[in-house]
Amino acid sequence: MEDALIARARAGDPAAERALYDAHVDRVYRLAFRFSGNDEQARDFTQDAFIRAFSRLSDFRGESQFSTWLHSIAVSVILNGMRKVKKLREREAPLDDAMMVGARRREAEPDLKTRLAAAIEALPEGYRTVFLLHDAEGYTHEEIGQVLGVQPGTSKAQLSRARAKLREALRAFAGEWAS
Amino acid sequence: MIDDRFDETLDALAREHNRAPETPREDMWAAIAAARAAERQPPAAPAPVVIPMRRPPNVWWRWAGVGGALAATLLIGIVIGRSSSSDRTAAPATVAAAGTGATPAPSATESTTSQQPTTVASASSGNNGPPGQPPEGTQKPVERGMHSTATLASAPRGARASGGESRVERESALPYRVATMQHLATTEMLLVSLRTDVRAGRSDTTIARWAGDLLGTTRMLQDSPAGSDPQLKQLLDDLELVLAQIARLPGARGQAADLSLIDDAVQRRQLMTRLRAITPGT
Repeated sequence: MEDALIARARAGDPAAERALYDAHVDRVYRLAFRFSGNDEQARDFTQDAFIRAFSRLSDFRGESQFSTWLHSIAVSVILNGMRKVKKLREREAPLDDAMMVGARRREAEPDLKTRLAAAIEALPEGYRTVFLLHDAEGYTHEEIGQVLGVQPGTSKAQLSRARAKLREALRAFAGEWAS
Repeated sequence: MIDDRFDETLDALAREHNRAPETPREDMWAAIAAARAAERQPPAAPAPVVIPMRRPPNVWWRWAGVGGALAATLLIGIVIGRSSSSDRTAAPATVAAAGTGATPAPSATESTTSQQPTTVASASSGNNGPPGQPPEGTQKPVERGMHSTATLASAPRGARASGGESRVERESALPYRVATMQHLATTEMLLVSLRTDVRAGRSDTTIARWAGDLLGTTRMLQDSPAGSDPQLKQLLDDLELVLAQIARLPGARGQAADLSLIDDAVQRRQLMTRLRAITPGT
């Protein structure tokens, strides 16, 4: 069924493209939002991923599932997009810090959820990607390996290191889950 | 034990991390479909290159070149005109007589006629009037090197021929005519630029230097045979005045107001109209 859609989409059939889009858009958008935490960026990443996928459909040889191939494009688009966003934030950060001088006040200690979000953001890109794909999106290590083009063992190792870093970052909250 | 609990908590928290809202399917599809439609369309022919019309910053150098070429043409014209006039001084009577159909003056009088063409013209026509006065009904003698550029430019060829000018005179007048026409056309361009600047509220310091160049050429033309034509002389006099005003403009500061005053003077004297009347087709 999907093969037929892919063939039609490859021939330039817009209806087939729409059908493929409907079948996969939720997961791609969710993934994009998971990485960016921003609706606008998630939309951009999703649109870009589908446009690239449809443009390069002739490159899809059916050696893997279409979803895996599509998600590898999506992850690439998202990671590239996030790198740009990060650079932009780093450029703007000094200005923001300067504006906050004098206006900063002592805030309440962030809760575990907030601290976790900050810790995930602070993870190295490879660790964060595997952590979000596995723990947040439920990808298997095999799927992660296919999407990222790495061995499943590499994915497992990176997930383990990611968790260790998060544990360290959240040490202050250890008592809460120990009790 | 603690690690196991941590992992469980982490899994739970991770699933809540950046949980996506409902997928905006239609919005995103609209953007994707538009992009795909654009990709499917054949590449359009390249749009014609539109070069905005604007004055280059080094316009003065361009017009300085034009002015230099004009001055050189004028000088060559004067040299050719004078040399051909001196060649002609051997037989002024012939020139004068050609218009009246009278017999050419005898060769014995040629040395005298070269100094006093008026006398010879009278003698050749058989008139016995006072020396220095042309006889009634005969053409006014051609003065040395004097040719009416404006008349040459505007009058029909037949009229000029019937006016009594010989082929030699017409040929000798040609360099003056060309130089004058070029100069007037360039001056018209300057005045158009001036008006454009005034209307745009701009002040261009290069226009003063440009006018300075043209002023020199104008003065040379005033002293040349081109200045013998009353109509052209008046025009050159007016142009000299205006060009002198433009050339003496102060720096960019306050120049716009001065330019406006000068442009008013140009309009009052109808310089553009007169220039265009004398330089048809430019």
